[in-house]
Parts: sequence; C-alpha cells; structure tokens
Amino acid sequence: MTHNNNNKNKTLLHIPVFLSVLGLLLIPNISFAADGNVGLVSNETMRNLWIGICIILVLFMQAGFLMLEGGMVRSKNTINVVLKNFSDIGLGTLGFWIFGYGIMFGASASGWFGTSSFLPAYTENSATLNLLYQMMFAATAATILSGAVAERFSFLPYISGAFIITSIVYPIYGSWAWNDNGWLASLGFYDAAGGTVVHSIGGWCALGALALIGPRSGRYSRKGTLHSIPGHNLPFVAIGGFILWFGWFGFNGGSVNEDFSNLGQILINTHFGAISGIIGAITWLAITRQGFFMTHIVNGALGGLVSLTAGVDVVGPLSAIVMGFIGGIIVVTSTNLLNRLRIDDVVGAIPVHAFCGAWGTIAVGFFYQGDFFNLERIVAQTVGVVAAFVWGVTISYGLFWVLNKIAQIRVSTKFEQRGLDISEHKEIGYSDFMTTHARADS
Amino acid sequence: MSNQLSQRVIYAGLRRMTKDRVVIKRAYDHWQSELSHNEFDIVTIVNSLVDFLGSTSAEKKTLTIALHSASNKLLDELDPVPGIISGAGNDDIEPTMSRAENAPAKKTSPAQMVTQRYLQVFGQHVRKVDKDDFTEFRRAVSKEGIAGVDKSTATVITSWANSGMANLDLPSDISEDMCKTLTHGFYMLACEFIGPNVCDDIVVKAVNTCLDMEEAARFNPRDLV
Repeated sequence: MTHNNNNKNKTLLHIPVFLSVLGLLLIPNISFAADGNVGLVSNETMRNLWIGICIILVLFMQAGFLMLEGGMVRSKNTINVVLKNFSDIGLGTLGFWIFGYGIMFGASASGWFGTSSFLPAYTENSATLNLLYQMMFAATAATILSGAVAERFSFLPYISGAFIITSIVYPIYGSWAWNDNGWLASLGFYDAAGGTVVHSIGGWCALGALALIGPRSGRYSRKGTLHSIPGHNLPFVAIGGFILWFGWFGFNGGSVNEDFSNLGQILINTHFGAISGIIGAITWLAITRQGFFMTHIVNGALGGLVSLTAGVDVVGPLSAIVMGFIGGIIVVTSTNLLNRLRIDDVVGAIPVHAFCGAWGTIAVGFFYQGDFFNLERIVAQTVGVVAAFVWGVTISYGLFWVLNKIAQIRVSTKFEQRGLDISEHKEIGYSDFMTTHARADS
Repeated sequence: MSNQLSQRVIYAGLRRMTKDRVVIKRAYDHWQSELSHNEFDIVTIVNSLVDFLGSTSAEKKTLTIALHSASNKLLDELDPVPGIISGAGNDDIEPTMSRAENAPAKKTSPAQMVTQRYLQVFGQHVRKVDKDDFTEFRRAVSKEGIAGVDKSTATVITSWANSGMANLDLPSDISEDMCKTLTHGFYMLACEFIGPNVCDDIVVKAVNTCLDMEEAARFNPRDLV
C-alpha cells in the first residue's frame, strides 16, 4: 500500500516538472519583439491560433444552447430540442458556406448583398479561419430560434427554416452591417461581434415564427392567466448558461484587433456583461418581489453578455457594467411583457437575444469610449436596430408562412400531448423514468 | 364493532354514494387495506375515501350520512358484502340492486370500459386540482363538447358533464379510434383550464389506474394517450 502511494507521489511529481520544462520551451516563443512579431511565432500565426480557439469556443456555445434549451422544455420534448440544436449547425453552416458567405462578404456594389465568393475554397490560413468563424456565427443566429419555438414546431420544417435563415436571411442583414460596402456600414453602424447582426436577427426571426405558430397548448388559460410549464431540468439550464458564458469569450474575443492590444478589454467587458446581467436581473426581481427565478437569473447573465456584444471593444469597463446591468433588467421585464402579449417564448430567446441585442447596439452610441452620447452614432445604431427588427420579423414570418403551406410547421395536438420525442423521433429522453405513457408503436 | 359489521357498514355507505361497482370495489379495497385495522371512526374513513376517490362534497355528505345510518343498524339488517367486492369469491353482486343494475348485462367492449374509467379518473383529478376550474371545465365540456367525437358519444358526454361527471356510460359500440379522439379532446380542453403540466400528471395517474383493470389486458390504456 505504502509502496503504491510512493509510486503515485513520484508520478505526480513528474507533472509540475513536465509543465515547467514545457513553459521554458514556450516562453521564448511567445515573448514579443519590438517589431510586433512574437519570438519565433509571427503575429499572424498568433492571431490565427487565437481565432482557431475562438472557433472552438463558439462551437462549444452550441452545447450551451443545447443544455439550456433542453433543460427548459418538458422531458417529453428533450430529444427534439437537442436534435434541433444538433441539426441546425449541420445544415446551417453548410448553407452558409454555399450561399451565405458570398451574400455576406462577397462584392456588394449595391450595398444590399454580396454577389461573389460563393462556395469559398481558400488556401490561405487566415481567410479559411475567418470563413469557419463566420460559419459558427451563422449557426448561432439560427439556433436561437429553436428554443423559442420549442415543444410545438415540427422537426423538418424547423431545419429547413434554419437552413434558409443561415443561407439567406442572416447573411443579407450581415452584408448591410459587415460588408465593406454595406449600406448600414456606410451610415457608421457599429456592431463588433454581432449583438444585432447575430443575436437580434436570431431573436427577431424567432418572434416572426412565434407570431405565426402561436403558443403551446394550454399555456394561457381562458381567463387569461398564465399556466406555468416549468422545464424538466433546471440544473441543465444553469450549466448551459455557464457554457454559453465560457463560449462568449470566443464569440467576442474574435473581434480583437491586429496587434491584440484590446484583447484584455474585450475579455473583461465580456465578463462584466455577464456578471452585471446577473446583478441586474436579481435587483429587478428583488424590487418587484417576483421571487428569484433561476431561469430569469441565468437569462439575465446571457442578456448582459448579449448587451455587450455589439460594443465590447469600444466601451469602458464601467460602461460595460451599466450596459449589462440594464440588459439583466430588460430580460426580466420583457419576459413578463411577452407573456402579457401571449407570445410563448419557451426559453426567453426574444428578451435575451432580440431585446438585449437591440439595447446593446443602441448603447454603443451612448457609451462609446471617449465619445459619449454622440447623436450621429446613436441615430446610425438605431437605424441598424430598426432595420434588423423589420427584416428579421417580416422575412421570418413570410418564410415560415410559405413553409407552412408546403408542410405543417406546427405539430398536431396529439403529437404535442404525447411529446415530440416519441412522436417525431421514436425515442424517449429518459427511458428509465416513466414520465409519459405515450408509446412509439401507437 | 365487529369486523363483519364494519365491512357491511362500509359497503352500505359506498353503495349509497355510488352505483359504480368499480368505484365501490376500489374504495372498499382501500378501506380494507388502509383503515380496517384501525378503530371505526367515520370522519377518518370518510376523509380518506373522499381523498382517495376525489369525490365531490355532495358525495362526501351522502357517504357520511349513509355510514352513520348503517353503523346504527344490526348485522342482520345490513346486506352482506358480495364476494366480488370483498374479494372472497365471484358470487353475483347483492340481491338488493337497483332495477337498472338488475337489467340484462349490456354488451361492453374493453376499450369502452377502459375509456370510461380513464375519463372518470381524469375528471376526479381535475376536480381535485381546483373546484372552480373544474366547474368551468365541466361547463365547457357540456356546452362545447369534445372536438371530433360522433353524435351519440357527444350526447353521452354532454349529459355526463351536466350530471357532475360522476358515472359515465359510453355507447357500447364506441370504436377504439373514437375512444382515443375522446380522451385526447378531453385532455386538450382540460389544458385550457388547469394547464398542460397538471394535465400530463393526471394522464399518468388515469392510465395507471386503468392498468389495474381486467379489461386492460385486452385494451391497453396507454393507447389512449
């Protein structure tokens, strides 16, 4: 026994020694030289490496969405939501590669959409990484929809819609804001990491779909009261929230400038967004005495993160805290507002992504470092936000209206009662637990 | 009170409260397993049975009065508990049945029996959740009916809802598909009053109750979901 312990201790001692040697080997490589290059590794290589890490982090955000949305639905619909998250990234990123990237970043003479760079096949590292990074962004925009319309949206129409959103709807708006010749970009519209381009567009698309599909059966009583439909696994929701927070460092971190000089600012503002969002949500819940709902607080953190996304590299830390704090409050208040309007957003995607994205984008005009409350900028930002709202809601409504004519986008009430897992996928999320009596063979 | 007398008192009380033999049997079994070993206390027995069955306040009152009345009688004055209820045998149910019960047995199908039981249990649980919601739900069933059901079933359901959802007697020729349509429509309507989460819980309880029926071997209650 003692002999074994000694061996184990010796093995453990090897780990710090190995790490020290590795560190000694790496330190010369990452020491910055006066010319801006990094020892043996060039600045460009470092940047590519960083963007590669950001890509992985943004991809991992899909796992966060999956957990958060999966936990917020009833157990009978878990597989359906999980699969939607899994599938939309597959189809969505493919669509973005075929059509989306060209529409978004191709040559745009009109300022409305690009007409080149379809099916891009780059050999150069940074261009390829940028393409992949943008593909991850596109998938994020589409996946926001899945949580909002959960528990009643049919699987195939959903992934068809997600494909069209990532291939056409998102890239067209993206070309207005992020293409060098985009009309919004020419107005001076600024969105560093996609507060409006990614999050609001995803949120507004969700609103358009919700307006068409309606609430879940029994969500609102005949008297007008709200029937609670709690998620089946709230710890999943919290873990999902944490994963998203973690991934957001990559989502915002990719907006770093060429010499990495603002990386610290971006990362700390991202963090401040999350924590002040939590505090904002808690404060508002305390003031209004609603009870400290975990879902509101997790969404508050996400709302804070979204609020910072547009201006993460141009606002100071104090401004970041204010923006995130207000984002947290927006999440709680607008969730209640949507319920009053009988808009049944299962996971709170519209408050978090659409409203907080809009707030954060306009707030860039208020809190731009060294140029507070610049009216011209506020107007440009507001125009971008309004354009996103009009574009996202109308196109999404139209898109799903057309899809509904081709195939019913809403499942039958029988499917809704049985749950979409068994009805659409012939699987049960928790087969060891008797949560439903629905049978795949009936 | 002797064991035999208390059995007869309970049976007399239950018979006064309901004509549904399945309900009488369930309630009697519940009393036998949970309460028969304790002192014969009418208040405790009534509360337990009402809770177990999800009875209305009117049914509770009837049961209380009947138990008090029966407990003041002598053994010979009370009808014996039939074997089918006590579990002692399969002898025919008592000689003092109502005329309707003495009538020739109506042809029934397993789907019909299971659906009847399912809907009754469902209704009882809706009542337990909220009495006001139950009243409104019952009114909606009566006025609006259940979507997709045929005329004869709709008539039965309307009168059942009007009579407080106590004893349901579905048409004997009801098809399995119609049973499924009926239970689904019932669920959807109930969702509007008590919400889908509570409804899902009730569905599980109703199916579990029906799984204990003999007919469940020939028509699986899970097929109603």
